[in-house]
Amino acid sequence: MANAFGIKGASFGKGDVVDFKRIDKVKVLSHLWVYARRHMLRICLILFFVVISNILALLSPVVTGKAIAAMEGGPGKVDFSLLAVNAGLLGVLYLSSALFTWLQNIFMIRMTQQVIYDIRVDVFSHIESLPMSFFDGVYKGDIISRISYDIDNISSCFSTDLVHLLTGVITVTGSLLMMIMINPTLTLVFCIIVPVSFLFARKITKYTRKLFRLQQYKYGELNAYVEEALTGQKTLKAYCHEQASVEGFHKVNGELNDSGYKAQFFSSIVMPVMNFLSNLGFLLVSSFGAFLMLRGRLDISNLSSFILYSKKFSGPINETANIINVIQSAFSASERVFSILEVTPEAREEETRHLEEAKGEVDIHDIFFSYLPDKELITHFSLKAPKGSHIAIVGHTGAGKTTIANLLMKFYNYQKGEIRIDRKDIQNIERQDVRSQYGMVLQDTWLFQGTVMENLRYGRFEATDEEVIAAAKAADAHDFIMKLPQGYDTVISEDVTSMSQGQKQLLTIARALIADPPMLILDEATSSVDTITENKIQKAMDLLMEGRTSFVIAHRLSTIRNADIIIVMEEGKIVEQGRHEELLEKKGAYYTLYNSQFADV
Amino acid sequence: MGRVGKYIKPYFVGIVIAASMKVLGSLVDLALPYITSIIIDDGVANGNLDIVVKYGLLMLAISVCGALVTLRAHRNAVRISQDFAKDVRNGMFEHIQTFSMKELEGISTSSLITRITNDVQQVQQLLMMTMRMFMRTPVLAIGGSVMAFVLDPKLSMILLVLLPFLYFVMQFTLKKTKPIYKRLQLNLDRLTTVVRENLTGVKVIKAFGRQEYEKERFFQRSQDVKDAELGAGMVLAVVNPLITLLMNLAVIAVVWFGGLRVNVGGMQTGQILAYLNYLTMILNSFTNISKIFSMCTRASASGARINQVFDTVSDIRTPDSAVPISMDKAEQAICFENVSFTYPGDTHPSLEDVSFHIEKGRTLAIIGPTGGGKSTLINLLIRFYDPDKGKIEVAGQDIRRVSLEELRTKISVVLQKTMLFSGTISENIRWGRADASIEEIQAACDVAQMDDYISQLPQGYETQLSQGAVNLSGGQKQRISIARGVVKQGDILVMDDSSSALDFTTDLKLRQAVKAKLSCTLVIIAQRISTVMNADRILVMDKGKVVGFGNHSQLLESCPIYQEIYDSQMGSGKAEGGAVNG
Repeated sequence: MANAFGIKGASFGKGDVVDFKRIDKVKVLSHLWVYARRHMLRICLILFFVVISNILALLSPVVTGKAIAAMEGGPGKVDFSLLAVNAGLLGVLYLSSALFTWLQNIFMIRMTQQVIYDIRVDVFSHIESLPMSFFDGVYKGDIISRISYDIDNISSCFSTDLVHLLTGVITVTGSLLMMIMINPTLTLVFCIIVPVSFLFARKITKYTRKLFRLQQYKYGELNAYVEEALTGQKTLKAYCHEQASVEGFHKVNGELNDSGYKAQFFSSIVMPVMNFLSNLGFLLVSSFGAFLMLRGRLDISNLSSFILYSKKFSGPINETANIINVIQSAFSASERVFSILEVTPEAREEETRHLEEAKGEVDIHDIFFSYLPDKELITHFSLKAPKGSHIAIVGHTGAGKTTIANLLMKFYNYQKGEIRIDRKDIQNIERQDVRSQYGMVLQDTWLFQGTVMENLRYGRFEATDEEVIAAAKAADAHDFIMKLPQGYDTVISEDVTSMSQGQKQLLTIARALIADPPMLILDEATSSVDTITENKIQKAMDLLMEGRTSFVIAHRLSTIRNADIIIVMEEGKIVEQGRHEELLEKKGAYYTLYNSQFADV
Repeated sequence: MGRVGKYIKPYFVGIVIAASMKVLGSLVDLALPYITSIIIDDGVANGNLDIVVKYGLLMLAISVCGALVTLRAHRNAVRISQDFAKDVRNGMFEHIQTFSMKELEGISTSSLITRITNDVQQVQQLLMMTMRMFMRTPVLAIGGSVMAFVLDPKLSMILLVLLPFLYFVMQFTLKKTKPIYKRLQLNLDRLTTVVRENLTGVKVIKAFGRQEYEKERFFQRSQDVKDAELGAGMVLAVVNPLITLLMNLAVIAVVWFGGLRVNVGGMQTGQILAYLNYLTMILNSFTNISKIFSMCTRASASGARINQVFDTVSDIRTPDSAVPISMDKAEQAICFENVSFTYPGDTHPSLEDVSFHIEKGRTLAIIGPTGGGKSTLINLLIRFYDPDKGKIEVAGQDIRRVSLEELRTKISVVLQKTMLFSGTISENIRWGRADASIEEIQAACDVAQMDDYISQLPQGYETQLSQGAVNLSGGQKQRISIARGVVKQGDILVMDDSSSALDFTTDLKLRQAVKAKLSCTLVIIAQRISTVMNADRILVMDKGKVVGFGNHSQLLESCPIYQEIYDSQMGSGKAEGGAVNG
């Protein structure tokens, strides 16, 4: 994303990330069409209302004329009965015109909001289906910008300006027809300016499209900057980076200002120029019309009607020119929104089978994996975990322990090898079924905005309050939850500072306890929890692991002494494997690791 | 108007000029029909080509002028609205940087993001549209009314009757839509929150297979946004036809009463026609009315949200007359005196009557059960929050009397939750000190046990990290953030459980390197007894209170919680290790 326009600089929201495919005009329109198509009936109705209210609008001057004709007689001779009839008729016209406009508005708004809702929902659903690598490479702020700001942009264009366009099309076609009927030659003269205006508009829109794209992109970048700066606010303050981050913000903001100004300004040229061209057209028509009249080929009433229609013809075109910036930015916004839909989701799973509840035999066979194409991370990794066994994975940081957990969970696809659950290759099992076999507790906690109860129940929605509380007690979280202002109903989120990191970890452990899965992956699940509390919850953990195949990644070797198999990893490979005592006997890598925790400075 | 108003002020003259130029440009549009009628009536009808050409050229000249004036007006409008938005955003971002944790949590990150982007955008759009389009409405409406009054004051009573109705419609619309737009912006905040959470917690969501649940949550929030939009839309859908209808009723009234006036000889039909033309002019000016309403109300809701950000003032600020910290002369590096603290919104105190001190150049270790208040001590030390009671001194100075920047420069904190930013590794480490040389960065990474790893990367220190540095393991991230703290060269280095993801060997090497190469005062929060046992002083925290303060052997004698922690880690382990060693 950062290189799309060759711009580098500021410290947040930049870098190499997911390369969103640039999608072309046809693609954008075809995406939009998919949504519009669902509302064919509504669109037809709206069209109908637009036509009706336009016809009514055209009729009223005629009736007004008749009403005035009733006064022609002058003082004392005004035909009041005729006046009353026409005034009444006018009333009917106006009332029904208002009614139809209202209906048209209502249908239009309903349709727009439905379309916008559908797009939002589709984009979000699509994001949910994307692979982990997508999330590794995007800026949250940029995605947020696409889902809220860009879609909002499409929405405001749709609701107010689409009706204008619709009415415009009708008026332009109608006027053109009338003009041809009056005098084809004069129409031809008038139409000389049409290709000029058309070419001009085309040129400008083509030029400004790039600018609008840049503006929208800069908007995303600003969003990404703010998001990253605010998320890291604590670090930012601790390092007195306020000034630097303000300066960086000024830079991004200035770039947005620049691109916004250019896009808006160049698009604002269109309207006065079009206006001028239509005046030029009018001049051509009246001079040539006068010439025709002198030749006796046209009379005055036809000429004035022709001029009136030519004015009507230019009206909507000028109006469109006036809102061209709105349309353009909505178009660029659509590009950004729909380009998310073009990102390939997690590979579709063909001929996959369901796996209801695994017995828990896991067999990893000669796995090769790398996140980046040229840097092998895991090589020749094999491991057999019999049903109910406890596997501990230890090793230096960066050895690939978490990666193994990621592969077990099918978060990433390995390049070579095979992982089997109950002798079934997980490639052939539905992703979700594989994941639901494991309860996973991660080092990085994640709580969403909601009550403590909701957060805990995330593990299993059917869990009763009693079950949730029992799990919280087992994870030693009950006491501090009860001290929260509203106990289990206290609304929390990841940003909350009043809850300690260790307490957040206890909550995620309770969440896994509630989930009650056949197998477990604990990745540094208690790293921020003190050892006394850890001992307290050990019983709960033992209970949780009882009879379940489990994979435990931990540095505190005391917690994994009882594992059935301990695997020592170094640079993506297994260097030692065995039980605690065996490995200590060996006096190898494990021996060194184990004793280091008792070493003194 | 509040602060938003202040930001508009410098542009006020420019706004008036742009708007009047725009009106001038539109007036040209209104003059053209008059010339048209001359061309037709005098020129075309009489077959006089001279008049056609003469007035035609005049018209062309006028329309060129009109186009130029309009262009100029647009340019100013765009410039002003863009600059205004830039100013507000800059101002907001700068102001947010002065917030302490309390204010940040109070408004929430997602809401601040929406405010600084979407809300500013709403006000900006209104400003631009006011200059480009909306000014026409009052000018044409008032102009039309004045002309109508001049033409026939008696008939214009109809317009007076109309006024209260129009006023009522406007009041009604504003009253109805204002709360809806307020809700809409709030709903957008909530939508942003869900998106942000999903982008952050994707691993947990996928692990629990909760995509459907999350979608449901998002759908609900989108539905809320949609409902608000629909609610406002439904009100606005009535406005245009209703105002048009009111004006049209006036037309009927003019026709009827006009007829009466004509009948008594008070008016002529031509005047009625002209009168109706003015009415049409007023009516035409109302075509944008619903758009104006929606933009005005939405922008005023947004303006209130922006002002709220500006009106939020943190009480944690640099005092007006800040005193410097001089570590050289001080004996005590840090001193807590009877400090008590409760987090905003919490009911239970997180710290109660905490007192301790650490001499310059010594090492203080803090240990204790989860939720005991260890990290809170750090939050108070660098003034993320201020204590409710008690005093904190750094180098003998009350920290409330020194500048925030100096305090935070003197203290290097490696926070518990690792936070790296997008950019290269060296950029991230330079966060510690912008002018650090590459040698200093390497030295810091050497202390943090990270130099070997970084050096073997293809791009070394210039390796690009993405947001949250997902391409590094937890331990690697922690070590980079330690290097960032080391390179800062503060007088006090605080490490808040910042080596929890490191294996013991690396952790040991790290501690040895810190001891050997740094001479600053050290504060280490840790869970591992081996990490803390050699500190000069060990502070044991439990339930927000100090339950032990002394060195390892003292605490092993006197502090039951310390004993318990010791036993939990060393008791059985040492016996076994000893057996192996023996």
